[in-house]
Amino acid sequence: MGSVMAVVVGALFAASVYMMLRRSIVKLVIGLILLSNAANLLIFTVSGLTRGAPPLIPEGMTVPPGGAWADPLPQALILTAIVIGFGVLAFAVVLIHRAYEVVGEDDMDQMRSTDS
Amino acid sequence: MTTADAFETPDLMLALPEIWLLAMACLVLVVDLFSKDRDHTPAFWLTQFALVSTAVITINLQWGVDATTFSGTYVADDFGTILKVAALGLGFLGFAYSRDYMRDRGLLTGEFYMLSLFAMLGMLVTISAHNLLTLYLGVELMSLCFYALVAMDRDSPRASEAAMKYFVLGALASGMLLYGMSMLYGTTGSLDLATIREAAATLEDNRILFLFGLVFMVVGVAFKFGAVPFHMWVPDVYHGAPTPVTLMIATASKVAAVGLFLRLIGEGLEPLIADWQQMIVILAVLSLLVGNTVALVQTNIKRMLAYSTFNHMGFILMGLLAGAPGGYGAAVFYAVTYAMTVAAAFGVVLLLSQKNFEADQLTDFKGLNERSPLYAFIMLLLMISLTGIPGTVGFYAKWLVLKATVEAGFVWLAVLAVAGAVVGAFYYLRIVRLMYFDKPEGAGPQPSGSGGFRAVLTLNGLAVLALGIFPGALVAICMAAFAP
Amino acid sequence: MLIAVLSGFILAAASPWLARSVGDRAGWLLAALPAALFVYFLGFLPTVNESGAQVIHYPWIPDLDVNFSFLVDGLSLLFALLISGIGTFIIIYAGGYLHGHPHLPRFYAIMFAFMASMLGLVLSNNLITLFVFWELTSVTSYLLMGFNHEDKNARWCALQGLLVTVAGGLALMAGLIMIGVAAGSFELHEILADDDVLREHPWYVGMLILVLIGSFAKSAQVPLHFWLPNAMVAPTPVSAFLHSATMVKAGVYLLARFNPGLGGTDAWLYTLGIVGALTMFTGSFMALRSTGIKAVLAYTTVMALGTLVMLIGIGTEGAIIAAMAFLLAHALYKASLFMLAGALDHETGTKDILKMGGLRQLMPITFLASCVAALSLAGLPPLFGFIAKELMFEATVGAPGLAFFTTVLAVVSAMMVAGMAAVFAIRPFTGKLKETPKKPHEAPPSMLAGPVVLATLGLLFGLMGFIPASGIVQSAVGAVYGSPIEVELYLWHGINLPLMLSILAIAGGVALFLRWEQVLDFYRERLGFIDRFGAERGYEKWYDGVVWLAEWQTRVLQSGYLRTYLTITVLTTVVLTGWTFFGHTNSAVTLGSMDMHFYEVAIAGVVVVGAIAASVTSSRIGAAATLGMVGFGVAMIYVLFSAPDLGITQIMIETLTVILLVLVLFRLPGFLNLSKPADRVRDAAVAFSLGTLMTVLILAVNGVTVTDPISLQLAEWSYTEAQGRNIVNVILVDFRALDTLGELFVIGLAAVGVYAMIRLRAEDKQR
Repeated sequence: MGSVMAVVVGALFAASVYMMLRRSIVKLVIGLILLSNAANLLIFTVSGLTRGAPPLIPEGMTVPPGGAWADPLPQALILTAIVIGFGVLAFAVVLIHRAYEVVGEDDMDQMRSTDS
Repeated sequence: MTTADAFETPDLMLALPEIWLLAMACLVLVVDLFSKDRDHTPAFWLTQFALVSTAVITINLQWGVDATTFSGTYVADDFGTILKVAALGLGFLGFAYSRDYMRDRGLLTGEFYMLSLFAMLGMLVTISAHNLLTLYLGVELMSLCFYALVAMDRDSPRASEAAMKYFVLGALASGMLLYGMSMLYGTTGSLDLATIREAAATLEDNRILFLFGLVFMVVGVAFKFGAVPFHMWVPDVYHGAPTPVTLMIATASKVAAVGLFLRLIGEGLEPLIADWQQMIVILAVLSLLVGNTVALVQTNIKRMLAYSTFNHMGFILMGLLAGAPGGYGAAVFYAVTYAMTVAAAFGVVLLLSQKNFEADQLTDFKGLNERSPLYAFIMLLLMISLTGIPGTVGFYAKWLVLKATVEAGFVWLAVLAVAGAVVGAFYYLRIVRLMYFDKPEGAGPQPSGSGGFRAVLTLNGLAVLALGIFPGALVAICMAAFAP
Repeated sequence: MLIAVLSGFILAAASPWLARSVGDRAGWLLAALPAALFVYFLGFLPTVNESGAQVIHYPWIPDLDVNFSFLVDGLSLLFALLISGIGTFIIIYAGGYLHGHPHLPRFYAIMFAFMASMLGLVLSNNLITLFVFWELTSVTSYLLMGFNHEDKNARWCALQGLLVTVAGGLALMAGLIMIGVAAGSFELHEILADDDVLREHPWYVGMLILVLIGSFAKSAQVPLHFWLPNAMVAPTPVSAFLHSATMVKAGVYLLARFNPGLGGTDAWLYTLGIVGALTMFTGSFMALRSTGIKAVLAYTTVMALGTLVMLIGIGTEGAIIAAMAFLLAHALYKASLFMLAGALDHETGTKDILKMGGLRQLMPITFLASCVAALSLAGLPPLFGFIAKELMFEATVGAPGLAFFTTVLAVVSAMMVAGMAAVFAIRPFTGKLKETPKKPHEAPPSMLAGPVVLATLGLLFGLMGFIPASGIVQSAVGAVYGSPIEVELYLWHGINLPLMLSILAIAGGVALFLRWEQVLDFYRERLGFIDRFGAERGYEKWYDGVVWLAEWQTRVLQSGYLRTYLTITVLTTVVLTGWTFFGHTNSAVTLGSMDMHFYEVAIAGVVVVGAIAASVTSSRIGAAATLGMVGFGVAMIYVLFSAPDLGITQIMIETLTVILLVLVLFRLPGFLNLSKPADRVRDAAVAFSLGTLMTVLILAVNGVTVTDPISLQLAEWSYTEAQGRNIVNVILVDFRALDTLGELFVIGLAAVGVYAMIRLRAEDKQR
């Protein structure tokens, strides 16, 4: 399954970069969302895929059942990343909205006034 | 890690600087909320007090210590102390210089202090992090605050645009950093820098993975440095952001970037030095030669300083890639003194700016000597320090780095660096000519600003001279921090 | 010693105040310091002559290997005496020349700082302090050159001089570091004590080139000579000081100093010999066509510097003796000639030789002194200049490998210089009195003291060669050569080849003098191309080239387009990673386990399709919907692969994201299709490269056996120690509570950032 996931992650990255390279400012937002999904999935895949063995400890046991359960640490990391990603996204959306308002342009190619 | 480690009660005292700064930041927020003062005077003084007191605490608690806490995620050591105190000091200068400017433009709000203080906190966390996740959080905290700070000026399309570019590129770079970290985790199963270091020393068939992680992290770190070719945001952001924010990005954040490098690559991946050295050499060469020449044709001093940054980043990277204690010490010395010098240069720009007037054109410096001999002299010191001419601290910084580079066997790189510095001489000394020998166009901007601002700026400028004559103590401290 | 060197800086700080309070006669008073220094350095002569070099050591920054240590030997003493001695007269002279100038006090201050830097430079035993003083002389001399800054030309020329010397200085810095590291010491006497440590070091060529660049830039060697004649825009006292004993001689000093360590190789001989000889020729060739009284002298300085470099390059005993004798002779006559030129300029108001004439009666002392000094310049007996020139011919004739080349150039140059010496001494003073902008009369005593004394010394040393020989030249030669040499200087060497060459040169000089008008015409008509192809053009071309490069870079790299920036970032990453990947022999991509379930592949397919759809859709609603598809698909993947917490979080966040998008997206403009198809193909290629890279990376990871993660242990402690059954949650709130706290701050910060921006917008609306 790892190889399928590899393709999925690759596709997500490609799509996000492609969107970020568009001139329309709105597409930038889409690109950022895809990027954060791609990143999370990358970590998830790299740290190993395990089917049906969540890191939960049932009543009466001190470790999860079975010999190999999913690695909880990357999950914790991704959980953090998802939440931060959302915060950052909210920030990004407002920032881009403001840039659009102040500059009055939605064509990225027109946003180069800082050019000397 | 043993059970005992995992469940010890963390030594909160060791991390007191960060905790204290956090508490003070919250206090600033609350006080500012209830203060009726339009100029946010209480917030200003409280902020300055916070920075100074945090610096004092850091020195007292962390200098000469080498200990970790919070299950090894936080470390206090000598070079961390130097970088933290430097970052705090630069923050202090930044606030001192920016007050009048921000007030004149209606930007002096509680958020400005809040965001800046949290940015400082982010830097401190970055510098003291001993765990990939903590490091990442510190970097993100700092970066987010800067994105917001750049965008603070509501009327400026330039600022919004710069913030957006900074953000998008920054998000990508943070992403790279994170991927790199996840690669390392994938290989070692640990986020702890000490464990990673051990694993890196005994690599076998998983070496390639480690190297991928390394590449991504180098990219992320290079972005924070503004090293070529990850430099494109620098001129736009320096130019677009309100000058005080530019000041902080140009100074304190560079110091934090050195911290990031030293922790992540210098410390965590030290056994892979042969591999990352090559990459850093490429970045250093590009930084020394590529962006630098563009500074020659700039007419805006903020942009000029932005382009000139690359050369200095090249020098810092040279010190870092030399790897040995001498190289690290030289890089830290370079970063700290460079940041100090640039802070003063932006201070002079701020000093000359008035309400509704930005003194950021080179022509504004024409004939400064006649209007204000003192500040012309200070600017002279700063420019010759940035060029690397003796008598000022910039010379010793370059000297130390070059010496470390030669000792590490990169003679050609040292020669190349000198070639880059020669180009630098052209644009820095041009400002000297403008100030001393040219006639102003029209009246030219007069220095403004309060007494406190002027006093701090003067001291800052003279420190560049004083350290140029007596650099011994600072050099000794920087070197001692890395002594084995 | 430390006080002696640094006293100049102290006086520099005090001199503006002193000059203001003393008034008109301040020059005489201030000259007391250099005079005292001169006497102080004289005091070292007997010891040095008897027992050789002395090292005086004061630690300064031991951590950096920086010490104030001074090396007092014949060479440094010769320079120190010239600097302080000539400096004394220059200060007196400046008091007269710049009389009434509003910035005279400032002038004194810079002058003393410059003098002190120069002393420090020649006396330093430590490479680092040597370099410090070296660059200080560049900066202070820049301020001196640009002193008349009302003149735009002066500003430009001064900056040019500064840039060339600072640039050279930085090269020197690298060279000195290499020398220091190679020799294992930054103290000159230790470096030079071990003869072959530098010559046999693998970096020898590198350090030689760097040191030579620094010295050549400072001492105005071809092709870096152009700044020096331009530097004569400086006030005359400065030119006199810079050209005779200081600034430009610093490069010569450095070469002489390193001769025992770096010299003696073929590289040294040929580089210095050829460059020096060419400089010598260029200088005299350009001098011949100059009509400006200072320009003539400036170009003869270039000639003299070339001669010195050539002699040091030749490096035989005779050559070194000639170099030191020539150095002394040149300092004496050049200082007096410049001061006399200043006197002429000051009294007549013009610098053009062609516009002066018949001043003999009006300025008799000036005339007399000019004659004596010019005779020394021309190299006629019985002046010291003659001895020096004889020795030079002797050295070139005996030069190993370069005898013919250097001798021919030396004779031709000597001819031209002799001609110009005659022009200088005779033209302004004879013939009819010409109309000049100012009414000429004899210069004041302050402006004559220096030239008269120095010119007389030139005569005295010529007649009594044993005084300089045993007094200083012998020790200096010993220091440069590396071992003691017996030196005797006298006028009559018998009839030999050098004497013949001398006679030839003087005869040629006389001919040139008599036909000077024709020579000038010839230059004007036939040799106009020099200006077009000269080295100065090269400097300008280089400058233009850099500017062009800068603009090109701005267009290409710094275009302001975000997507250019992104493209470069992405591609660099791809290249760096690819390089690492393919640079590694044992890198392998494995296809991982191919065990997969139908529903898993289906969900993966949904995600991929969603991503592609989101990137090609042309409607905002479509984008929001497809993004939702991707998000929920990812959530499903989390759930399928044992991460229920992630799945839940992802679903919550995804819902929020969609709401956010719907709220904000519609306040933003609609999708535009702005790109050209070609652009899209290019962007798709960039995107594809990154996507492929990521895929390959993951596959590479799959092929690697991973060590047991410590988190397995965390799982074991989760219940036993932390009493939690959901391990992920335990990690978040317990094991890694600090990071979670950090996360909260990041979120909080994002909120503050959003607030800052939204609030400002609300205020905008209110306004």
